Amino acid sequence: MVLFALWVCLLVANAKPAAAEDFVVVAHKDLGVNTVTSAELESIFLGKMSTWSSGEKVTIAILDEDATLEKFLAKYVHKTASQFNNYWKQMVFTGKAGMPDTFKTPAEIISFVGSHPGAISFVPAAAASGAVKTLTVN
Amino acid sequence: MKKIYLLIAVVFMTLSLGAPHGALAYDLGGVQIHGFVSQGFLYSDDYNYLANDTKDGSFEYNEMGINFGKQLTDKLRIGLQLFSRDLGDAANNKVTVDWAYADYRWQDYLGLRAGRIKLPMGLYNETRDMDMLRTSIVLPQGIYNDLLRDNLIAINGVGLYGNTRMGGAGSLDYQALVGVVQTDPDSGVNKLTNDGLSSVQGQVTGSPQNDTSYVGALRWETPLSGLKLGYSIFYETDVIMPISILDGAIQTSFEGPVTIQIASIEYTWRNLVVAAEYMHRRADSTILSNQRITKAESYYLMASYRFNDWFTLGSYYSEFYPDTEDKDGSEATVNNVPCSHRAWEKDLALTLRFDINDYWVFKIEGHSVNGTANVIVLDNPGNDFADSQWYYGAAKLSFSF
Repeated sequence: MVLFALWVCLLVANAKPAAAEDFVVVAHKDLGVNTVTSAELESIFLGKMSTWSSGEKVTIAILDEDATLEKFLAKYVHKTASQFNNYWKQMVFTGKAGMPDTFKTPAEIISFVGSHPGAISFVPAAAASGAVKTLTVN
Repeated sequence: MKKIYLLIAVVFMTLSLGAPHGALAYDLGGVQIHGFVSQGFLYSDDYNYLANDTKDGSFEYNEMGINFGKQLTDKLRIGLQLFSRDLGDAANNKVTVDWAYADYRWQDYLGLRAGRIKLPMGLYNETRDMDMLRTSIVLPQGIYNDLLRDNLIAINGVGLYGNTRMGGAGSLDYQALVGVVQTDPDSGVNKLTNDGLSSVQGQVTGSPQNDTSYVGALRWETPLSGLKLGYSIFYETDVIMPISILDGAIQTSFEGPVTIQIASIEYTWRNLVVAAEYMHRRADSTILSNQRITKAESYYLMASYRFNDWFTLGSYYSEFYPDTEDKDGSEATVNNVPCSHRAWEKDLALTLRFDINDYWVFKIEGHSVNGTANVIVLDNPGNDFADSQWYYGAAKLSFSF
C-alpha cells in the first residue's frame, strides 16, 4: 500500500499545469440570457441543465479541436477531453441521453449555434462573430 | 450464436470505416445508434476463475451490445439496448434486453422513467458491461461479481430521478426506483448457487422468483472540484430459489430478503482518477424452517492515470469477505474439508490500457490473488484447494461507436 501511495504521488507531481484561457462562450443571438455562472456551464455541458432560465431548451455543441476543447473543459467542466467523452458515452450506453453534436471547426460551431435557438458552445476568441452572442461567464 | 456475434462485429467494423472523428454516433431519422463489441481472453494458474476453463486459457469471455435512442420531444426520450455476453459456461451469448425505457424529464430536478432501467449501484454497475468505459478489465469481484450480474443489473419498473444545484454546496444527483429484478438462471446465478449447495449434494431446480425491489441512489458533486461521494441501496423484499439437496432426496427452496448498500468516493484531478467503494450485503434466508442471516462485505481502492492519448495505467486492491462472521476462515470448507482461504479474496490488479483510436481499445491485466472466496468449486473438480496464493490474467479488445 505504501508503494501504491508513492505511485499516486508521483503521478500527481508529473501532471501538466492548466492552460491559459483564450476562448469565448457563444450562444444563439436570441437567447434571453446574457450571463452564465461557471457552475451552470458545468451543468449544461454535462447534460444536467436542459432549460435556460428564459425558457429555451439548451442545446450544446462541442468543438472537437484539441486545444480549445481541453482549455474549456478544464476551466468549466473539470474534466479532460477523454473524461468528457467517456462521460457522454456512459450517458449514451445507459440510455440517459444522446451524444452531443460535435463539429470540427469554429465556423461550423458558429453556423450551428446561430441557427439553433437555445444553442451554446465555445470557440477561440478570434473566431466569435456577429452571427452569435458572446455570453459573460461569472 | 457465434454467427450473430460475427454479424454484429462485421456491421460495426463496416460502419466504423465511414465514421466521422469524434461523432461516435449514427443517426437514422433522428434515431441515434451506438454499439460495442469486446472480446476477452482469460488465463489462470491454479484455479479456473470466472470462466470454467481458464487454466487452459479461455476466449469464452465477451460482451456486445447495440442501442437505439430517440428524443421524441424536448422532454421525452425513448431507447433500448440489446446485449449479449459469454462467460465460460454462463450466459453463452444469449441476446437480452439490457435496458429499454421511456424517460420524461419534466424538470431538471424531477424526471420519470418507466421500463427496464439500469440500477445505479456504486460507481460502475450501470456501465459494467461496457469495457471501454473504464480502465480495468475485471472489476473488483467482491462488489461487481460477474456471475451475479443479472441480480443487480436492471429493474423492470419505474423510477424518479433528478439533479439539483446547491449553490456553494455543489450539486446532487438522485434516483429512486421500484420494480422487479429479472434473473436469467443461465446467466451465472444458478451456477453460483449450485456451487454453494455442492457441500450438501444440492442444486437449483428452477428459476429464481423475485419479489419487489426498491433502489435508491445519491451522488453528491462536492464543492471540492473533482470530488464525488455516492451512496446506493438495493432492497429486495423476497427472492425464492427452488432447490433440491441430498442428491434430490429433499425438494425445498430458500427464500428471504436481500439488502445491498454501497458507499462510494471518487476523486478526479486532471488525468488522475482515484476511487474507493465499500459494499455491505445482508441476506436473510430460510431453508427448511431454519433461518440464517449472512452478511458479506467488500471494499477496494482504485487509481488510474492517463499518461497520454493512447496509454493509461491502472491498479486496484480489493478485499471480499462472503461471511463477515468468519473472516479468518475458521469455519470455511471445500467439499466438507476445512479450507480457511475460502473465507476471503484479496486481489491486487494492474492494468495497461491502450486507446488505439476513438473506437478501438486494447487492455491487458494481471491479478495477484490471495484467497478463493470467489473461486467456483464446481469449475475445479479434483482440485484440493491447497493454494491460497494464485494468479490470473486477462486481455481484451473492444470496439465501440
